[in-house]
Amino acid sequence: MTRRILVIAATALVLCAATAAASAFFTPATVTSAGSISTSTIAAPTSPSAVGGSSITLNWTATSSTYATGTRVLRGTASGGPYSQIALVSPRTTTTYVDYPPGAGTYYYVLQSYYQQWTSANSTQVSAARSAIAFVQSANAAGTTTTTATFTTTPVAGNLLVAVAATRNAGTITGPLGWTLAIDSGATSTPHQAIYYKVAGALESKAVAVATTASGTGNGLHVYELSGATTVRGTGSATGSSTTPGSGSVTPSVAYTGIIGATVANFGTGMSGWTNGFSEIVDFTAGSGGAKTLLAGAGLLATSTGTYSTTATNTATGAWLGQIVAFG
Amino acid sequence: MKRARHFRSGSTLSRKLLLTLGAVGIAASMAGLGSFATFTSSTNASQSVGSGTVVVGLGATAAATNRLTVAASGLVPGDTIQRSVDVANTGNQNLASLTLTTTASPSTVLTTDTTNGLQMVVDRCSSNWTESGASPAFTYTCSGSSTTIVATRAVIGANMSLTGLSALTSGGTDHLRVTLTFPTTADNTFQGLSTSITYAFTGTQRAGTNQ
Repeated sequence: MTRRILVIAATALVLCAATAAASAFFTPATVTSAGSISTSTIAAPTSPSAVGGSSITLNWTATSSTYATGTRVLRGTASGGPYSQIALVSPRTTTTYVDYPPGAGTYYYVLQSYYQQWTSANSTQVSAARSAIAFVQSANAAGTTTTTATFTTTPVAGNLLVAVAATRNAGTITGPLGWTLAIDSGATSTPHQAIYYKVAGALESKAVAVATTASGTGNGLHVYELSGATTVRGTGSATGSSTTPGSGSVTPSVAYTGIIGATVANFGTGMSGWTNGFSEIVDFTAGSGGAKTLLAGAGLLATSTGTYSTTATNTATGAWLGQIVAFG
Repeated sequence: MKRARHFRSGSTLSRKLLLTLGAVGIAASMAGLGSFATFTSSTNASQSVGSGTVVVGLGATAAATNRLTVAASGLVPGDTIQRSVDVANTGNQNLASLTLTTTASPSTVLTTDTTNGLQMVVDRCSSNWTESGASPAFTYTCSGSSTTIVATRAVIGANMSLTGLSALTSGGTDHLRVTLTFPTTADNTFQGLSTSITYAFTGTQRAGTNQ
């Protein structure tokens, strides 16, 4: 029995030795190593919101995918889409966008994060209404070095305010404090006219004041309040000397705009016969006698892109300046 | 009868041991033939004869000698992955060639799209790669001379020749760096994918010579 155990043990030792030898000599000539790789999934922005008015303001929470370049803003006119991209907002941490849809109505938005060719799934949909463009009210006044025009009612916050300041003689025009210049014919032009605008604030004053270095009493100011518009979408101008002042032409960058054509002439007592669908809003004189200036403004609500212009008929011949600005 | 067997002579025991050793030897020789079927050697009665071994080894994992096992997650287009690995000829024979075959499981566009999927480059450094960065975002620089031994190509391939390696010589070791690039052209179909890439290094024995 003991010997049998010895035989078995010896055999086992030999087998072990043989196995060890085989391992040393017969290792396969191919060796492998493996590693796993996984790709990311870009996350959509979260918590979108939309506030309507003359524009629509979108806000959201940035995607948690910190490598994202930014956010795609998509807009549709029906709930559930289809949507079209209207903006790429970057960097990722920018979480607001102001949209100016082409016309009044309700718009639907979704957001996507993007990086290289990657886009995330859509965020939840939000919607808001854009108000229609309309001329709300106007006012005008004649003056000297300072001219103040006063609206009848306090402008509504968010509406667009437009100021057209004109002088018979050369001189600098200084617009209302905090307003933005849309177009200025230049201090040396005679007559001289400049148009300014701003979005009305929460406690907007009814009075609008401009100043000028131009001498004389032939200075004037006419102001307008528009709903549904927030900024300039195009400008144009023209000059001449005749009985038919022109506004120049403008090609708005968006379809829905409120267009104001404004003329100033060094002679005459009134404008009439505005062409191309424009309606006269303001028509008044500043100064008197040989220093009289005729100021007038006409408006048009445009619903498509294209080129717009207008002319009017003056009661007298003289040097005139026209400007046209599209607001949307 | 059983009792009698307990007392068998010593010669009987020796014969049994010899038979056992012989059987094991035959078995070992057959195994050797299986692994080295193409080996040839010549010898004479007075010389000892040893069979050659073709053994390719990789560096130890959990060190810069083999980072191929280090996973990479959350890849986005434009990312790169660098992994170092040492390949050594630990056998006693020179190699005719050393090749790399890569496979993926599961197979996805990440590895099947040869244009927008993962792209691979293999570089060799004459000395150890200098490792930087925290795992898994390793990067490597070569303080010696660096050469590209597999030019940019789709990551998956069979029998990619690794030329000019020291490991072709018995006892030689090569310090390799595998760089994978995720192209910026990868589209949405590449999001949320996972795969495991296996790197198989195969050494082929040298041609038989007169020994």
